[in-house]
Amino acid sequence: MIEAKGLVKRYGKYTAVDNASLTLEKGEIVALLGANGSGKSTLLGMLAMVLKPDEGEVIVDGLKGKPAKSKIAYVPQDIVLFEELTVLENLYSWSSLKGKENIERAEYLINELEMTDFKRKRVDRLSGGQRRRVNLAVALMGKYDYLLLDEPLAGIDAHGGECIEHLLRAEKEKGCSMIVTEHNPTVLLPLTDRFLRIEGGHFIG
Amino acid sequence: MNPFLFILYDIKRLFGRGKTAFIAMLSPIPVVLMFALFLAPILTDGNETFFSGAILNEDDSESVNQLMNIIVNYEVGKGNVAVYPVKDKETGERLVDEGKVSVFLYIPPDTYNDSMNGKKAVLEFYYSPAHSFDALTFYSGIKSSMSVFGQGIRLVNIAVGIAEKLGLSQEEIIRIWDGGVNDLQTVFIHRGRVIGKNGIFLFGADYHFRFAIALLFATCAYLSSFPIIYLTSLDLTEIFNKRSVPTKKLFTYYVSRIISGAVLIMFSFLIMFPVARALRQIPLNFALSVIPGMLLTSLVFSALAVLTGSLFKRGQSALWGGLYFGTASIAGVAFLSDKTDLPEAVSFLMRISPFRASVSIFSNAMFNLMVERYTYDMLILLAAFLIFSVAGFVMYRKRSAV
Ligand SMILES: Nc1ncnc2c1ncn2[C@@H]1O[C@H](COP(=O)(O)OP(=O)(O)OP(=O)(O)O)[C@@H](O)[C@H]1O
Ligand SMILES: [Mg+2]
Repeated sequence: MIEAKGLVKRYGKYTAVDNASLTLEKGEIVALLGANGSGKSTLLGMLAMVLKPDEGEVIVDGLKGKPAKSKIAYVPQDIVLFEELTVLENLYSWSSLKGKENIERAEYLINELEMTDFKRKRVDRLSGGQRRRVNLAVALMGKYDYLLLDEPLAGIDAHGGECIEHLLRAEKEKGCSMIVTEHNPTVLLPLTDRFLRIEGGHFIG
Repeated sequence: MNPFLFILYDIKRLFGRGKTAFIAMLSPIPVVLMFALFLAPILTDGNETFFSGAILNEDDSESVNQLMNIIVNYEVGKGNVAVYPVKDKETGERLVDEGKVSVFLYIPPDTYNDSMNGKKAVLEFYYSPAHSFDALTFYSGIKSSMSVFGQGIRLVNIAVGIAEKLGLSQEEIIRIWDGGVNDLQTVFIHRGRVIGKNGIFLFGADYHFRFAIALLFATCAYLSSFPIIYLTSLDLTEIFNKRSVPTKKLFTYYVSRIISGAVLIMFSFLIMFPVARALRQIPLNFALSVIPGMLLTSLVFSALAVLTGSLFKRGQSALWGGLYFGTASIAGVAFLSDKTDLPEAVSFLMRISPFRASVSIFSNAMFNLMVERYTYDMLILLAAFLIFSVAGFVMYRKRSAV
């Protein structure tokens, strides 16, 4: 279970996330909805512990700090990859950076996300949708119990959306909990257990 | 994953980032060319021997003869100078005018007596404008040698005088004299340190040509570390603060960055090495003693680049920071190295400067290696490497995701 209590993030005078609390149950999938600039990415960053909150705390399965962090996989909204390396090299690098190199897992993700054709291409030579897939695959390389996805479907075509839905369904069946932000909830609708709406840094509804 | 593969991937990233790495590796070439076109001819005058000089010694005292022999023989023995004794001032000046020698040194009668009696001894010195640089080197070398050596000989003389008064045997006195002169030679070689003036380079032992090549080596090596600065800064702002990595793994990545950076710098050394050899026949033993120095220099500059990259949030600012720091350090080494009257703080900074140590190692190794100085410089580099890497990792960790 992820418990966030009273999270606040300010940028100067501007408060991007204002006193947000939430809980994510084991195996649950939550869709986080909101307009551009409403604070979704800021909130997700704090939950993933890559962004330091000004106030509040995040507790994962009763743990805080590093042990908590190691249970979470995070897909940033920006493409965060080693641009000069190929897709395969990225997968190997990130799996080692997170734990142990796992060739089977890399093969599995390449198949699931249909990246075989470009797996030996340098990331900086890929198309936007292709990069988005690699960005997701890299996050899924390590071990994790919770998955925080920031717009995993941006720039992804209809077939790609199906692949991702299939992949995330398998993750859910393994008991993995997720928070997903997105602007078009239809693709992942069948998986979603609950919706959260955010506006101006506050949860609404 | 095999840590070796990490390094390999990182080398790929460093070399693969657009053209930056390529440009960095080629950056030595224009510098070397400029050097070869403008500086080297002035410094070497196309001769294999560094320079030739004429000497007229009209002081017939035993001590000056001995002193000149020791100084001149020492330089001749090293193959740095060719010295021709001449019969009169006119011949000496004529040789300079005809361009046969670079400098002519005239030692007037009674130089020794005058200096022993506390009068100012005046040495006359002729050179053609074309050789002003050589002449300056020679002049400073001789002048400082004379002063240190002269004082030394005086002390040895006093010791001999005391020995005579005590009624020691002739044999004993000769032994004291020889021992004293031998010690003096050692003192002479290390005189900068012995007289307590912290001249960084030992004048007369390091000539400008070697110093300039060494400085060029270090400068190019530093320049080629710029892609490391840039990529490190970018990694921290765009990658490691958005995807978190456990500290242990971050450390592995950090170490492989330093190693791959050192490989990049070694590459630019490898490009410069044949150039340096072509400019001047540098013997093979130079290569053997200089390679450990190159390796350590590469590691130091790589660690420094990673530290610089970790200090600045934006890649551009990091590059500027590196440029300013590098320029200041290099200028310091270039212009302050031969000064003996620096304020204590500056002098201290110069002594511990890894730039200075690196230049000194190359300069030293290109000449007949002084082991003690080599060891000192290597230790400075090693210490710099440790300090930069530790400070770098502290910053690196701080900048990566919370
Ligand atoms: N580094 C920053 N500095 C200053 N302001 C920021 C920073 N990052 C985000 N903001 C501001 O915080 C607010 C929330 O940003 P956030 O990225 O969380 O929005 P979002 O809901 O993810 O939007 P989108 O749907 O466009 O991704 C925005 O108004 C944004 O301008
Ligand atoms: Mg966002």
